[in-house]
Amino acid sequence: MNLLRGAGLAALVALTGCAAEGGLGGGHRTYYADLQGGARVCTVPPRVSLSNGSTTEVAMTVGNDGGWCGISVSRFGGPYDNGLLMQRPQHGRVHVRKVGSATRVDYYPDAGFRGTDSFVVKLNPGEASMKVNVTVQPGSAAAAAAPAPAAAPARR
Amino acid sequence: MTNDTPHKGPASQRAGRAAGLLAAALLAFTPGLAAARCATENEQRAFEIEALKTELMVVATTCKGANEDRYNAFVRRYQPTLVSANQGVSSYYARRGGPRANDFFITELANARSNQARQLGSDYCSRNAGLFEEVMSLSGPQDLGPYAATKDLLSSGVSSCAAGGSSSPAAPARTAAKAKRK
Repeated sequence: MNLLRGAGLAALVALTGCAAEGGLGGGHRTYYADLQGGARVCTVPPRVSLSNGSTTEVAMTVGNDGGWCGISVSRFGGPYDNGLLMQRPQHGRVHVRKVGSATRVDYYPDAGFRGTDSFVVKLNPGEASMKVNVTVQPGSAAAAAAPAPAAAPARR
Repeated sequence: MTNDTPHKGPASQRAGRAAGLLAAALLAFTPGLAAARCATENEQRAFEIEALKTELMVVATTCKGANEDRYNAFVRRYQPTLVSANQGVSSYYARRGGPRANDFFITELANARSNQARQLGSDYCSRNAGLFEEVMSLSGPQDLGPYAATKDLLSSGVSSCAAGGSSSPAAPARTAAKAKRK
């Protein structure tokens, strides 16, 4: 699915298959900062199911405009406790973070890179591993550099 | 952040908020620069662990309360690994740039994490205090490096290995596998 910048929250809900609890209690808040900066082109499977103790391969296609492309995974409707980078990507960076009720595994391609890359993340508990095979396409850096129209906080 | 707002007039506050929003937007849309990678996996891991420790220290000092105790518990649990990482970073700078470069890195790292705290504003503590739960849920010290590697703490405003003249990127390493063999 294409994750379009500016439609971050809605896209995240669709991506995770569950509601993102923006501002709600229960320890699963979604923060504005975690929804910003997504790549314009980010194609990942709509649902990724991981199995304990085994490795699941996932394909990702991202346009290299400076933004991240993320895969959301969850465990019993909540995020994993932690993630471990078992194999680094050669041409980018990985950021694993809790976003709402899911764990999101983000990949940022190095500036100017195009081609293929891969990395492996293990998620605990359960030692569920995910190998992400990334295809990086050219993208316009200017597109990601422009701030998204954000709702400014109310001011008196 | 909760306790660091200076008292200013309304106009100054508005300007400050606008600047904060702009800074947050710029932070969020920082282009994916080529990550500064160290020449060896061990060096890369040392820098990442050092960055994680700094991040948690900033959470503790900024958010205070129970977070200070949680930081102390983190240091107690992972002390040998933290000491080893610190020695790794010092050793790197002993070969490239000396103690001044080491001091510069530590200062730069603390500033980068503090800047992020400032940019996130009131969300910072509730968002980042969860790192303590994550790091304390690791199965053991051998997982600290692979965990720190998932936090992308060296990408913004920190020169790390690249500043010291390392030109060859770290080979893609199977970090946890290496760590567990130790």
